[in-house]
Amino acid sequence: MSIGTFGTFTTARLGIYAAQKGLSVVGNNIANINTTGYTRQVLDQVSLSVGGSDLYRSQFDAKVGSGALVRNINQIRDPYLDIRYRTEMASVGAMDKKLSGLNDIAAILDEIGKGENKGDGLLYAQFQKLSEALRALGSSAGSQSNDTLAKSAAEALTTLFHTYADKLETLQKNTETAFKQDLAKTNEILTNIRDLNDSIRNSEIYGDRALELRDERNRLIDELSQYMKIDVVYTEEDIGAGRLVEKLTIRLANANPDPDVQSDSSILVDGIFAAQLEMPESFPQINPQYDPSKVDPNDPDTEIFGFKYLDDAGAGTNDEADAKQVPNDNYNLSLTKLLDAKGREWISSSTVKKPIVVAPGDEGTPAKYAIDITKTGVFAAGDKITMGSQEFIVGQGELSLDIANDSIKLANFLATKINGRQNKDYTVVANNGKLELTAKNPGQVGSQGPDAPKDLLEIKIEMANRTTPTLSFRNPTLTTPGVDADPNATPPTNAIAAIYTMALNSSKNWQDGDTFEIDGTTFTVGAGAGQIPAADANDPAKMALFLAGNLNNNDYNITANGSNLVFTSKTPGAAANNAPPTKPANATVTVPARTAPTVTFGKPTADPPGTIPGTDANLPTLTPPADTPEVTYTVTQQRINGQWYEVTTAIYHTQPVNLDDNDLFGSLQSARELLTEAGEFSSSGTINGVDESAAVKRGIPYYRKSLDLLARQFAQQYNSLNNGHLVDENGNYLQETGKKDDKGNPIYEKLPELTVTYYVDKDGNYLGTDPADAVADGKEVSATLNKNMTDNETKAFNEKFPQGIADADGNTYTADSIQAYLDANGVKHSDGGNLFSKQGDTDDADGITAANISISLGWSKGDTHIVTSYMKPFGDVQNTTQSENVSHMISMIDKPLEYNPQDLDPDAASTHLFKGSFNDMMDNMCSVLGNDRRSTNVMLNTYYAAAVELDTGRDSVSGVDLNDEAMNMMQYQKAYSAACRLMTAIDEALDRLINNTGLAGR
Amino acid sequence: MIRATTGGVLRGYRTNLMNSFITLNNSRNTMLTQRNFNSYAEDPAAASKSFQLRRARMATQSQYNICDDTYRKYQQGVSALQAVNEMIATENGSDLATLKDAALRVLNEPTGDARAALSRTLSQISDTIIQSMNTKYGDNFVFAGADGQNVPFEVIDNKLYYRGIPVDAEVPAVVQDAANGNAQFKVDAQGNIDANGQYYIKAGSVSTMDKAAFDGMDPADQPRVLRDATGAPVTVDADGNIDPNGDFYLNTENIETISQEDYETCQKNLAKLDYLADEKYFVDIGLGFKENIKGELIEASGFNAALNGLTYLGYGTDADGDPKNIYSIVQKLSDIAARAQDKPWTEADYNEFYELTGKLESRSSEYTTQFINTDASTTKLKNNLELLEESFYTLQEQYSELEDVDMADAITSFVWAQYCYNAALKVGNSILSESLIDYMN
Repeated sequence: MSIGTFGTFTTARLGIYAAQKGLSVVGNNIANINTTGYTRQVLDQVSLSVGGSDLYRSQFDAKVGSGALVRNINQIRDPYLDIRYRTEMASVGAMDKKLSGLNDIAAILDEIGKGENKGDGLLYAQFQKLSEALRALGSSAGSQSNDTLAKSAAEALTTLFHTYADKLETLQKNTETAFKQDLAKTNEILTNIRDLNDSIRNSEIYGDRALELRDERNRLIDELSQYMKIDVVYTEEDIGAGRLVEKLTIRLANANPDPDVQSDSSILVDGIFAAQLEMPESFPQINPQYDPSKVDPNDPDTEIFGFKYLDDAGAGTNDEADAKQVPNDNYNLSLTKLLDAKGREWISSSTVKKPIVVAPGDEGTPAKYAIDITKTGVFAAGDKITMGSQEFIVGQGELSLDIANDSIKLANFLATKINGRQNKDYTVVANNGKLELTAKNPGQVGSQGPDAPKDLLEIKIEMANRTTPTLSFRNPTLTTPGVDADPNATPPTNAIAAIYTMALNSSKNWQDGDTFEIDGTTFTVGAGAGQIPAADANDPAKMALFLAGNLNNNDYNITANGSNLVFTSKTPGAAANNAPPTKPANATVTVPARTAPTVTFGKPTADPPGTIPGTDANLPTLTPPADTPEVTYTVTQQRINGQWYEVTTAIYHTQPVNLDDNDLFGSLQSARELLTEAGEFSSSGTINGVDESAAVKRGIPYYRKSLDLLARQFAQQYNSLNNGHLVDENGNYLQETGKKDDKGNPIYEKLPELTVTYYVDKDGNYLGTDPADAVADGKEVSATLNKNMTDNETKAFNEKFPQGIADADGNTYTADSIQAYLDANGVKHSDGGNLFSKQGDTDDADGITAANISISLGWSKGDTHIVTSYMKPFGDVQNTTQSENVSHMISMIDKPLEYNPQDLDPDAASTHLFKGSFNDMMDNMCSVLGNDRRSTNVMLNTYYAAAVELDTGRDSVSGVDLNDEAMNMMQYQKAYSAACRLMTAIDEALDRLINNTGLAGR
Repeated sequence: MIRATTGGVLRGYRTNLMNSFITLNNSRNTMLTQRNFNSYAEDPAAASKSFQLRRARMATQSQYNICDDTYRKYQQGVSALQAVNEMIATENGSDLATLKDAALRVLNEPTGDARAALSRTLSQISDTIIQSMNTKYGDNFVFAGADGQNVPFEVIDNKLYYRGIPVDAEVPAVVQDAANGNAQFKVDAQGNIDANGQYYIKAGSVSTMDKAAFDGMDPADQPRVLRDATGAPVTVDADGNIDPNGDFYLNTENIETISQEDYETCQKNLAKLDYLADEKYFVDIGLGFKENIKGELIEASGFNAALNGLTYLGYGTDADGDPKNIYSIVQKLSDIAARAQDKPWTEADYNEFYELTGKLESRSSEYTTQFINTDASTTKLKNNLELLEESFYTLQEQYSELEDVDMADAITSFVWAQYCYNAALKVGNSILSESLIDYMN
């Protein structure tokens, strides 16, 4: 049995614990059934089995588990459903905001059901009322009361224009306020998500899953997804020591259809860092002509297409800092840097490796360095040279004293030891006091790069402690006694010199500069004359020889024999007579103080000068991308696993991002579009530089401008009709004569026409105006400038007669300036003048909009009236009730007119908005609006239904169900009871065992 | 769906309940507003069409008013023309004297005793005619063409003027240059051709003489004839017009000349009368009222509401130099009658009176024609009024068909929506009450 006697109590206890925990989870689920965003939690319970063998384990034993263990409490979520839901919610948010805005516009402009007769409309009806008043004036021209009636109708019309314009302006302001509130709300959500990320991260570090915080975060992400289209990614972040915690990253989800735009995937939240949305006061001026595909390197005129921005002077630039700043009328947004809660910036890095391939035979000059070597001082045996992690002792191993004290040899020696081995990349040789490093592979660059091998720069020298050398002698020993010569013999023949031998002791650590003194004579160790070289000094035999040559003795000749000094008496046979030679005093040795030797290596210099490794013509040029505020680059060349790479390291710093016009998709973008989109009134700059589809997106500005254009068109047409010139019965313009008829009425005469003579050939083809242009079978014809020429006639006239036609005064006029001729020479009607102006206190009609259109000062004061007729038959016939001009005005109400956006806004790209009557134009506005509302509503319903379905789908996974919980509750409750019952059973069993067992016979 | 959770079920229920409520609300709105659509968005095409029809209805209303006004003016005019017609009719069956009657009585009154009285009668009737032709509708004179604010006919020094122009205006015939396209030529005060001259020779005042006879005469006895700038006599044809091959000379002893300015004034007056007789101004009575590409009204699309007095009474002179205008004819008849009062007719007077009476008859006939035309126009206006009224109601019906709901359908929809909503509520009650927990002990 692998569990102790009381082990089952533990099993029961774990069971009770698990069941109790389960009940707590059920309780928590039920309690949060109505909590928004709450995700159902479940108990992660595993069976516990204690592993391993114990002392008494038997192979016949059946192993039983040890109960249940509560491992964790988990949430049940389906991330894919989250993604789909949030994508759908971006669409719901976008359509909902758009529809809400369009409904607001419709509440102003949509006149269905409004007005008299249960739906005659307001502006519609007022145009008709004006028309009615004009008809009345037409049938009774000259009647002041009818003029007043028309004026009242016109005034009511202008009031309606004002009302609509004011309401649209108020709507624009309210929408702007709401947009700013949404922006603030979005930023609050981003901040909250960031802070939650921080809290969740901290909790995770301490082992807490922070489920409730995740619920709150999911709720906020859901909310954020309505404002903009987002991409949510969960990754794991290494926080050190192999510990990974979850990191949440939220990006914009590539909503921009323009593939060249990258800002639509900007990071909003990255773990504990988050950006904020801002609406700058100004933005760089976009170059409306920006289109890099049009740049032709051979044509300087196309340079402008390559610049994204324009500077103050209107020249192109790609540097945002140089661009002209223009007010942010487009409600463009930008993202701030990613900052954490303490305001610290986010950075990241990445590397890109690019293999460098060098073809054999094309390797070029090998990279070569020369490194200066400087050696000072003298090495002594035992001195220690440390290079990197290697140590060399002078006089030991390969490093002899000889090598150590020869700078070239020493450099060579060290070069072979670089990095603990023969240099892998360079061949190193010493030459002329320099180390030369030559790349082994020509054309390639050593891994050490342009710096000297690192360990050469780190040479340390430690001097060995030195024992002072000694020089001593042993007493002389007589080896051959002297024999006197036979004095009687002639010549004497038996004389033998006495020979003494004396041993010399000398230590072997003599060095140059050492001195020793013997019997008052000082000798120096060195290479000079009368000196003994250090090497000889360290050799006792040589030292003996040196001493034998230099010690003076009157009686004996001194020679060396090995390390002994041999004294041979100068007089043979005298030994018996002479005392043994005197032993030299032991030498007094003096060792000079020592300076520490040094070895240093200089910075490598390229050889030949100017050749930088890796820049050989046959190598790929290393051109790192230019640093930007967002990314800084470093480029190195590294040999990795035998292959050379150009390694580019990019260090990313987040920077504020100016979002492109279409980067967002959601309620924020819809609000922006409501505030900015002007449809056909969009400028080419906007279409080319901001949004390609701007011409088909219509927000409040579109309707405001359309209404303005309608008001301007209306005012222009009627002002024009009321500013004509008198004509005779044949339509010829009249001029003043100064004469008056019997009743004092002025008499006019025909204004000379501007006529030009030209020549045509027999087929009528135009030849020219010069008589020299005439041909024999052609003819001379004339053309007359006429105010009522059509556009095509005007164009044809100007092409034929670009020089214009001169009048009697020599002033020249073209088909376009015929009006000027009439203004200068024709007769204006006494009632004529502008009917509508831009303010009630002026007659100035320039810049009329729906907001300012007014009855002109002249008309309101009575100086100006509706001109009922310009016709003055024969220049003097009275026709007080003629009304041909009123007929024009009546016709004007239903006359199809061209509405050109450029008439209102010269920057507008489109030249055609609509062709139709005033009412048709109004109808067009409302139809465009109605259709847009209708389609938006359909889309909203579709998206909403899908979102609800997905949300319900999410709920089916993550939601709390009472039946589920009730079942769990019963299950855990029963488990709890059973575990308790188990404990009782074991207790009873043990009680039996302890208290009631073994009582037999008692 | 793997699980149906309490929250999920409730959410689904809420959404569906809301949809049901929205449907109910829409049905209710449809019933309350009695309209098929309440915004462009609900049915853009129908909304657009509906406004178009309403605008047409409003325009029709306005055109009706104008047509009605014009009709009344025409009625007023026709009434006046009727009165005039009775005055100039041959027989009128009433006690009122008529022009024709009076003229015949003058012509057939042998002794001349009554001619003075008849002359006054003629004069008075003609004055009455003028008064009738100066009738007004509202503030405007009916027969003043496009000058309704000024009285059209005035009699100054027994001459009738229409809008300041003598209605008997004529361009005197002058001698012409047949060799030069019958162009007039100028002469000096002595009657000789002079490019810088200021006169024309009146055709009726010239006499010719045979060229051969003239050449055969002693130069001292030769009468003054038309000469060119070189002083050479100019040959003319039998009518006195210059003709290089002519066999005559133009005797300039007793010629009458007319100054160039007077001649041109006569021309201009006649042109003005021609213009005024045909003067137009158009009103919109629902015939389209459209302008062409040059901005000129297409006449057929408007109604010419101008009634020109000249059209009825006539103007200018005939080949005999007699006025074509009824008033002037009558005045001339009156003058002759006065001249021949209390004495028998001289043959000349009688013939002149006789011829004028015939011309009066002819002019009366023309008047009657014009009168009938005007009356026909009045009828046309009246018919147009009916058409407009019909159109007005048709248009109302048309947009009503678009806008107004079929109440039976609306009520059915509403009741059905309410039924669905109630059912949804009922379902909700059961959703909220049941769960396993309710059955736990």
